Amino acid sequence: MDEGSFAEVVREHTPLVFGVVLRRVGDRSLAEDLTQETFLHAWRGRASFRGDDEAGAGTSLRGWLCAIAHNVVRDHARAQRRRPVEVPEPGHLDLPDPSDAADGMELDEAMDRLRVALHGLPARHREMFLLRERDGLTYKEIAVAMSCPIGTVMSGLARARERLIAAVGA
Amino acid sequence: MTTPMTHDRARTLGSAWVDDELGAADVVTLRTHLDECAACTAHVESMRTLGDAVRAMPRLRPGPAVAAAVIAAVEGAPRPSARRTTGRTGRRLTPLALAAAAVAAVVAVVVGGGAQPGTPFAILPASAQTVALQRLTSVYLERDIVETPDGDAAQRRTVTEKVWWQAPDRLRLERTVVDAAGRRTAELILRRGADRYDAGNGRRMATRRGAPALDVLPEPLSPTVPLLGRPTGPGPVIAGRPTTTYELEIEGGRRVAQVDTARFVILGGADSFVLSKAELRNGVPTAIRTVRRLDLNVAIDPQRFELPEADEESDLGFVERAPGQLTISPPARPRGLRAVRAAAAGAAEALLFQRGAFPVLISTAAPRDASGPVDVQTTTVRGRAAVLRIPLYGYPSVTFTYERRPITLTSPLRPAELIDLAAQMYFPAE
Repeated sequence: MDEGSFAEVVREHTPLVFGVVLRRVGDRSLAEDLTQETFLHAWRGRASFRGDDEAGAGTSLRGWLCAIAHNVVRDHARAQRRRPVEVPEPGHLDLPDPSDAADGMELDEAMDRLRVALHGLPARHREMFLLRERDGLTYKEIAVAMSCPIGTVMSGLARARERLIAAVGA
Repeated sequence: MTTPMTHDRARTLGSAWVDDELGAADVVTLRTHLDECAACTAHVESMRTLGDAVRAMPRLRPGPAVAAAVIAAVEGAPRPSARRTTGRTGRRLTPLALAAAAVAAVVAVVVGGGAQPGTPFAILPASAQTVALQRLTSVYLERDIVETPDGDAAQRRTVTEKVWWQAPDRLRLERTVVDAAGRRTAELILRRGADRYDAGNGRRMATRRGAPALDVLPEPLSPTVPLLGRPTGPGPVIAGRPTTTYELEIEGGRRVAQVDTARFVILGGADSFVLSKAELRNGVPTAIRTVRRLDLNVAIDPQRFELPEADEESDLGFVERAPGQLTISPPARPRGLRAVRAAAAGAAEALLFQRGAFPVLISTAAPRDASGPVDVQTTTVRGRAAVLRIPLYGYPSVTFTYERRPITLTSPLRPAELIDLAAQMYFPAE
């Protein structure tokens, strides 16, 4: 991967990485910084990245970037706390704040219920669900991003959907 | 005879079906169930509706400067070294793995030891016009810094630092500070600032907020400045090195930095040294830090890396033991290897050796890597089957069976060197 092709990767996947990071840190400015950090790590480690071949072996690019993003966020949290602790899941979403009228975003009642329901999901299930539905990642990509087996993704998504449907009455 | 599908199973398969991730055989099975189950059919339809609703929600997007800054940094960076032929090495990646290893707390206190730098002395460029790319595998540097907090000359203090850096989270930073009143304090920081020692008495110091962030790179090396800042022209010669001046905004404040014009490939990344930096408040420089002396990859006195003894408790249930009390041990010990820590927890045991500056961790615990891609390969150690794991964010490990016991060696060595070390220790040539 040379500079040119990596630049394309950056242009195409910045919204994805930014969304993943923002959901973890909840601060737009910090999320932008850590998004840059993520791509810097990816650039340095690109030689270790093996894209999918025809047989589907290797690692998907989107999953790889998301995995790096998760690590960058965790490292940042550790550096802040000076202790090797797990990053607490604040439950942020990459959504505009409904109280922020300046954005001109009006969320209707159903959307609000959905937002609350998403916040109520276990963190890993929520992230799996959003990677799938918001970011369009495949199960294999989510598995790489979340460092878990594909079967866990499959069951996690089913559980997330079940809880969301129960909560919002979709 | 097939077992009837449960509703729970049907909804799990239905979820995968909605995502177009279900195999053909399962689709047939699922459809058979749905044909007879209105509740599950409705649930699957709800899943589709739910997906539509989530995708319709507005989302925040990053500003255009985010991608632009990354691309500018990448396109301006020299190509990394071509050390690819022997496979991935932990040293050129961003290691986090030992932080997640089962005996991380044991390891944390013993990075260092006798030193074998093994890297050639770097010949530094003399021309300000030449951006030279130099290759350093590991870095040992000594530097004197003058710090002027808040721009107040009365508070000026001098700092002498000795930095031994092998990888982004393998850092030993020894710092001696002499303040304006002549008071002298010293501290030792190991790995990401999580372990700090008073260099005078060897006691571990309480961690505190505001400590230098060491998780990505030690402060002398900073890709952030070239990444986020913009060059505004040649800077002054500092400590005999030509610099480029960068201006940047971080955390809402303006900063100016002078960066060594030389570029170094260190652990696979292109980096430069920041030789001076200051915050600007109303155009007035404050919090000024300027290097007065910088010696890079000088010869290392092994005595410098004798770490102080310190009480350390693992929060993972490992209890320190004398090495002889463990059942695992290397049958043969290569020259230069010495045991420095041993610990046990339940059925797992860990033994930490030091070979030069490199730690070698031997454990009976299953290797645990930080999250992220891991390349798993089958290999052999002196003809015996073994598994080589190369995490993106960690050090390579090799696991094999010795006397019916799984043994895992983890070290920031190249995979081939790691395997060779394992062979020397456990299966010396017959």
